[in-house]
Amino acid sequence: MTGTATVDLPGVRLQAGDHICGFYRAPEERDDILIPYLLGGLSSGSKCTCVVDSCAPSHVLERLAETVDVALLCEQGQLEVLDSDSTYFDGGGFLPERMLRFWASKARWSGSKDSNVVRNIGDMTWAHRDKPGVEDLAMYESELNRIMDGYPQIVLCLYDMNRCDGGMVLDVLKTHPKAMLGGMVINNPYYLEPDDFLASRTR
Amino acid sequence: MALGSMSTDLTGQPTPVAVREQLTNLRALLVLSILMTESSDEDQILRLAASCAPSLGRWRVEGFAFTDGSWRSGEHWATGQIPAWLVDDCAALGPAGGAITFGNPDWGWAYPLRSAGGLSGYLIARADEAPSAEGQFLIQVVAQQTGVAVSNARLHQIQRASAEALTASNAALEETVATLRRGMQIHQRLTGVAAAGEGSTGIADALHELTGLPVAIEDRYGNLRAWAGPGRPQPYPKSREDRREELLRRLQLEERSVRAGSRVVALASPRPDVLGVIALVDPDDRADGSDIMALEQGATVLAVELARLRGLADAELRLRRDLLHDLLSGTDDEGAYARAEALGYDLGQPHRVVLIADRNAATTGDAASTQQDERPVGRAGVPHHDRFLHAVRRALRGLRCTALLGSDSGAVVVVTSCEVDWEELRQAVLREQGGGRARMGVGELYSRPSDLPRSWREAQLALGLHAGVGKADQATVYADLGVFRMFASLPDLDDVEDFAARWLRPLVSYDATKGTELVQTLTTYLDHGGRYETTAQALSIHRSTLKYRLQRIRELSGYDLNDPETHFNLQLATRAWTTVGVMHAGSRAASPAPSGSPRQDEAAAAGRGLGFRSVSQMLR
Repeated sequence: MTGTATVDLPGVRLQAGDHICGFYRAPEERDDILIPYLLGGLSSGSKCTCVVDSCAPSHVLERLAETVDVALLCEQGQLEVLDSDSTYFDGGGFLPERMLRFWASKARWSGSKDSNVVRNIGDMTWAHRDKPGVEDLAMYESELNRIMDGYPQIVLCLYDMNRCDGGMVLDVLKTHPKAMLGGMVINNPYYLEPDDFLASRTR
Repeated sequence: MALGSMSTDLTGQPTPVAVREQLTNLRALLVLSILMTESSDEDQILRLAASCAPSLGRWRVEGFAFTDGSWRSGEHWATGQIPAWLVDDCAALGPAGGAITFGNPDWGWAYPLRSAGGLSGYLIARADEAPSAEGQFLIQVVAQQTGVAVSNARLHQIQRASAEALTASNAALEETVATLRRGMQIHQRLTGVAAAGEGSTGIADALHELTGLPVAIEDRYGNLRAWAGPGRPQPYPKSREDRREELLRRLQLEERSVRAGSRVVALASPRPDVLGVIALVDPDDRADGSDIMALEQGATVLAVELARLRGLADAELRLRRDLLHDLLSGTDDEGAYARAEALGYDLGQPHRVVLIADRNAATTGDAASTQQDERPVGRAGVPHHDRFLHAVRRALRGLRCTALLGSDSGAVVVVTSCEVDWEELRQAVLREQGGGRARMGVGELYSRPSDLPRSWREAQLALGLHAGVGKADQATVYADLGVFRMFASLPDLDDVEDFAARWLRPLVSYDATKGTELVQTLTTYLDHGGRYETTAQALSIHRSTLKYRLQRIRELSGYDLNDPETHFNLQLATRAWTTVGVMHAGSRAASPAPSGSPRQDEAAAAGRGLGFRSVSQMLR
């Protein structure tokens, strides 16, 4: 995907097609990433979809409402704030293919202009739940890279550092071309393509 | 890929995918290192390090052995001391780490946890077989980054602890400074009150202003002296005497303020005296530390103020006593006027001396015990004698009489210009004292202070003669003494005594040998105009006993008591005899001699109480 989108995260410059993992240690840090990211997309007319798990969707909507008319944006379909039960766990367990289709559908929003990139954000604490399929997280993150080039979108995956073990952190880092740490984006040009990652998992 | 072994192509070179995988692992380790370094939680760092192993190869973290001997398991996160099986290996390790033996074929290696601060311990790695060189390099990187992160976390903890300690110190310092400022504010306000001489009222106002609580200042007995703030009780309640004494004892024992019911009370007590108490009225228990500090400083200022007032009162009292003493013993007029004026007392008007004898004290021996200062102690620890003095003072005040007061062995000496009904004054004294008995002798009025010794002697004589004739308690005025006054004023007492002896000698001799009371019986009979009924009542004897005694008097003396001439001479003789008795009693008081009749003893007691040496000398 080509084209450049300016994101309102201070000091962070992203491109359409970016699949970024971000780490936070406290809800305030989460909001400091999540809210500016969504506001930046909304202000540029982009479709924004947010799936939260560590807080309620209403929390995000209330924070956004301090700046924008969330009711109007939701009515127009430009903004969607959902919870993990209705998305990642829709139907009870986690199915990577279903979520990949979900994100692809959001990227095809009819109101989006050619110059706009869709902004998706997932609050990944759902992966720590005791639910069927959560063990497929790394594979899902790797497969997400396949759909990134098909649509003008940016996907930001937020992880709570206090709940991740070292193995999960490494797998997440290996499957994301970019990582956001303390307001800084670090490129990982050596991230593993989906096939290579899947192959490494099976060796 | 399990990076313990890197995939190679047919030439033995690593495949591009293998190289990319190694590179992404290093890249991921770099990010993990950043995450660990950003963490200040040592436990989280170690968990991240231990749990990343499966993603890097077929090895695991057995645990972390620290140089202080502590151990953290990599699998179950158990903590404790380094396991026994590892102690020897760890002891042999150098700064570069080394091999670890598990007692089985497993591969084991201790990788140092190093940082700029030095070696903090080892990451103990374990695998079924030795990882490749690239895999061991990754373990080494994990250990190195873990060591730095742990060191960083520990430094952070130290800094945080230091910052917390500094914050706590600053808070304590701020509190101390605030307390000191508050203390200075309290001190300045209260010392300002003391310096301005605002007294108890000023102290109460200042304390109320400082605390916002109502303030009461009471004297030693619980009487309100000052109040500041709302809610002053009307009338002011006074606690029971025993409870009051218990509170004072508790305050003296605690040596600080104490809570007593709805009040916080402090003692104004320059040891060992108790001058008063000061109290914060605090039913809601909202007085804080600074309020208590203000109360206790207020108590100190109050103690100084009350001690000053007491000192002034004592000094004035001493000056008044000195003046009274000099007026009675004789002093020059000019000096007396000047000293009285300095005390705010007007001596310019004619004055007289009045003596009031406490008959209760006389019967308890208090009157004669002055020299030994063995005064009976009565209600509230106040000596009986002082209570009598206070009763006289209150009685005079009630009759609007200004006077100089003093005391002398059971009698109160009053120098006054007031003209009142003296019996009314005596009754007022008895009322103020709550009953009892008292006699009063009143001297003549003199216009010059230098004549007051004469008035004093007259008062003494009036008191003594009254006792001598055995009349009921009353006020005896010297000017009203009649023939007694005439006898007492004669320059030669021997002629008076001879006259009395010539008429009464048979009866006096009989009384002396038989222990009878014929002289007294005759005296009382004549004083009552020869009426049997009233005489018997006055003597507290039966009418027939009186008739028998009178018959004995007629037989011994040969007098016809119905003869007017004889009657007149006997009346003069008995009064002369009484006068002489009183005079001699005064003399015996100064030079001990055998006592005469009981009445004479009583008169002598009165004379001793007044401290005169010789009545006859006094009247000259």
